[in-house]
Amino acid sequence: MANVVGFFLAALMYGASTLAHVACWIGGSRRCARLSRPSLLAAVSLHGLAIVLRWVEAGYAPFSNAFESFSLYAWGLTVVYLLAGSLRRYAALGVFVTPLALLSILVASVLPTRIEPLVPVLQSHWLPIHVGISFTAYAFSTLAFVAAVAYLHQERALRQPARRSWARQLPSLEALDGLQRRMAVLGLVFMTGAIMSGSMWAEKAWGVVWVWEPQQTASLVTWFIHALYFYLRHSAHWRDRRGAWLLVGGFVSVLVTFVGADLLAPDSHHDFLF
Amino acid sequence: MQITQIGLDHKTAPVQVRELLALPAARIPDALETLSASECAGSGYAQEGVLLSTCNRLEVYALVEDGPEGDGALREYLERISGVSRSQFDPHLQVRHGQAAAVHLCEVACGLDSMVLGESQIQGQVIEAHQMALAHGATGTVLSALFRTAIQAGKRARTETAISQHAVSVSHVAVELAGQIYDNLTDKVALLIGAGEMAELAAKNLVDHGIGSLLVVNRSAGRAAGLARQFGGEALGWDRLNRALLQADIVISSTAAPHAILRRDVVETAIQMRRNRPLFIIDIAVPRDVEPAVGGISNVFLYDIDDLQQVVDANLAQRQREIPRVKAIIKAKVSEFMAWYRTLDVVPTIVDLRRQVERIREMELERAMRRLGGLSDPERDVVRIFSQRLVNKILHQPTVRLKERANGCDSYYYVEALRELFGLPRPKPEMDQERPGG
Repeated sequence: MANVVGFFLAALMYGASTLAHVACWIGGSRRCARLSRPSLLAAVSLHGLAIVLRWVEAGYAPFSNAFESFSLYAWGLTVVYLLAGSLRRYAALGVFVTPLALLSILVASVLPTRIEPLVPVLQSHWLPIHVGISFTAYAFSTLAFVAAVAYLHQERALRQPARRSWARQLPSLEALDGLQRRMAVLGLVFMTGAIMSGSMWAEKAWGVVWVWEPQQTASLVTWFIHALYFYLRHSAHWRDRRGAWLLVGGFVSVLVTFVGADLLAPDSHHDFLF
Repeated sequence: MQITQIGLDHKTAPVQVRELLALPAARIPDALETLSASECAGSGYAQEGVLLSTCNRLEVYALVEDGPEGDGALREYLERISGVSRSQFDPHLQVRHGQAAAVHLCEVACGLDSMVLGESQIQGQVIEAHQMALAHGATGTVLSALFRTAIQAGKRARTETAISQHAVSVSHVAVELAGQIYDNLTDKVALLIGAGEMAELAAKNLVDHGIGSLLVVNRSAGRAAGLARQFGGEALGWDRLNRALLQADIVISSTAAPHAILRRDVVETAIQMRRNRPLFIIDIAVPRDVEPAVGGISNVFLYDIDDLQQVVDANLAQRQREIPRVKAIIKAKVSEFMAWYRTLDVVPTIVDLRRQVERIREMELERAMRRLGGLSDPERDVVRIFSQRLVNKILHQPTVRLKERANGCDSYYYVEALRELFGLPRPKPEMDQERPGG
C-alpha cells in the first residue's frame, strides 16, 4: 500500500505545481521558477519512488493495468520535460505540460489501484522494455505537441501585436520550431523502437509479428504522422503553422494509441489495460 | 526641522525655465557643499540635503527649518547655484513638505512622474543622487532613510508590478517583436532598404542589439556605402535587392519612394527560395514601401509604423493600469518611513521617556510598600512623594535640554541617542543594503 500513498502524495505535488505554473503564467512574472519548478521536481521524485515501491511490492514492472499506465504516462512526460526542457528558456512551457501530467494523474487516481497477479501473456521480460520504450515515445510526442501549441500561439500573437497576449512569455518562434523538431525526431525514434519491440514480443507470445489489432494499427499511424512531418518539413518546407498542426495531429494519434484503441475495440490484444 | 522638497520638472516648467536651472554633473559636488555643510555649524542652507538633477527635473531635498524661513532659504539657494534671478523660476517651483515630499520622491523613483511612464533610468538616477550626497557629506540620517525608502519602493514597483514592463518606444517594440521571432540576433542578417535618417537610427539600434551582419540597399549607391561603412555593414546595388531578400532575416524599409518597393509576388518567391525561413519586415516609410498583402504570406511578419505605434499605445495603457498597484506600494513604504520619522520629534520622545520611567516608579513603589508593611498613611505619603521627586529631578535636565534643542540642527542625534539608551520604541524603516543600479 505504501506505493499508493506515495502516488497520492505525488498527485498533491503535481496539483500544487500546476497551480504554481498557472498562477505565474497569469501573473506574468518571471519569478515562476522559485515555486513551480521545485514542486514539480518534488512531484516527480515522489512519484518515481512510488513506482519503484510498487515494482518491489508487485514483483514485476508495474506497467500492466490502466492505473499503472496513466501513472507512468504522467511520470514519463514530466521526466522528459524536465530533462529536455531543462534550459531556462523553455520554462514557460511548464504551463502546458503540468496540466497534461495532472490530468493523467487524476484519471489514474480514480482507477483501481490494487496489485493483481500478472496475466500470463504479460509475464515476460519484454514488459518493461516494450512499455518503457512506448511511453518514452508518448512523452516526446506530447512535448512536440506542446511545442507546436506554443508555436501556434506565438505565431498568432505576432499577427496581432497590439493585443495583450500571454505569448510574450513564450520562447521565440525560432526556439519553438527547434524544440518541435527535436522532440518529434526523438518521438519518431522511440515510436520505431516501440513498434519493433512490440512485434518481437508478439512474435514470441503469439507466433506472429503483426496482427492489425487496434493499438498496433494506431501506433503505426502515429509513426507515419511523425515521419510525414519530417518528410514535409524537408521537402515542402513545412516549418510553419502547417508543420505545427501536423504535430497536433500526431498527439491526437498518440492519445488514440494510448487510450482510444482500447476503448474503441475492447477485445484487442492490448485489452489487459482495461 | 522638516523635510522639504523644492524644484521643478517637465510637468511644472517649460524647457526654457528648466534649462536656466540645469545643473551639469560636474557642478553637483560644489552645489551639494553649498547646500549643506556636513558639520552642524549653521553654514549652508540646510541641515541635510540631496540634489536630484536629470534632464527633466531639478529637485532639492532638504532638511530645513519649519515654515517660510526654510522655504525661503532653499529659494535663495537655487538663485545662488543657478545665478538666475528668482523671479524667473519662482512661479514654476513646486514645494512639498514632510509626507508629501516623501510620496513625491517615491513616485519619482517608481517612474510615475517621468515623461515615459515607468521608465527605469530614473531609479538609477535617484540612487546616484543619494550616493553623491553621501560622498560629499551633504545627507544625514533623515534624508538617507528617505532615499532608501524611495529606492526600495522603486525596486518593488518594478519587480512586483508591470509598471516597467514591455517596450514603450517604436524602436524597442521592434526589438521586442524580433525577440518573439528569433532567439538571438547575433547570427541574423539585417537588410536596410533606404539609407536616410530613419535607416541610420534603425542600423544603430540593430548594432546595439548585436545583429550578426548588416546589408544596405539604396537607390543612391554613395549613401548606402556611407551608412554601411559607419556600421560595419555591406552596401549592395539596387539591382541586388531581390537577392538580398534571400539572405536577410530582418528587413527594415524606409525609402522615400512614392510606391511599393516590395510586392507580394517578389516576397513570395523569396520565401520559397528561402525554404520558408521566417522573415521579419518592418516598414517605417510613409507612404509604405511594402505591399500590405505581403503580411499574409506564411512565415512573413510584416509591421508598418502604425502597427508599432499601436503596440506602444497598448503597452503604455497596460503600464497605466498598474499605477494603483504602484501607489499602494508607495503608501506602505511612506507610512513605514513616517512612523520612524515621527519618533525623531522631541515631544513624543519626552512623553515616551516619562511614561517609561513612571511605569518603573510605580512598580518599585508598590514593591517597597509591600515589604515595609504596616506603615501609617503619612509615612506612606512620604515614601510616595520621595519617589515622585526623585524621578522628576532626574528627568528635569534631560527634558529641558531636549526641548531647548527641539528646533536645533542636531536634535535628531539627541533623540536617537535617548531612544537607544533608554530602550524606547523605535520603529525603524526596513533598510537593506542598496546596490547601485539594482
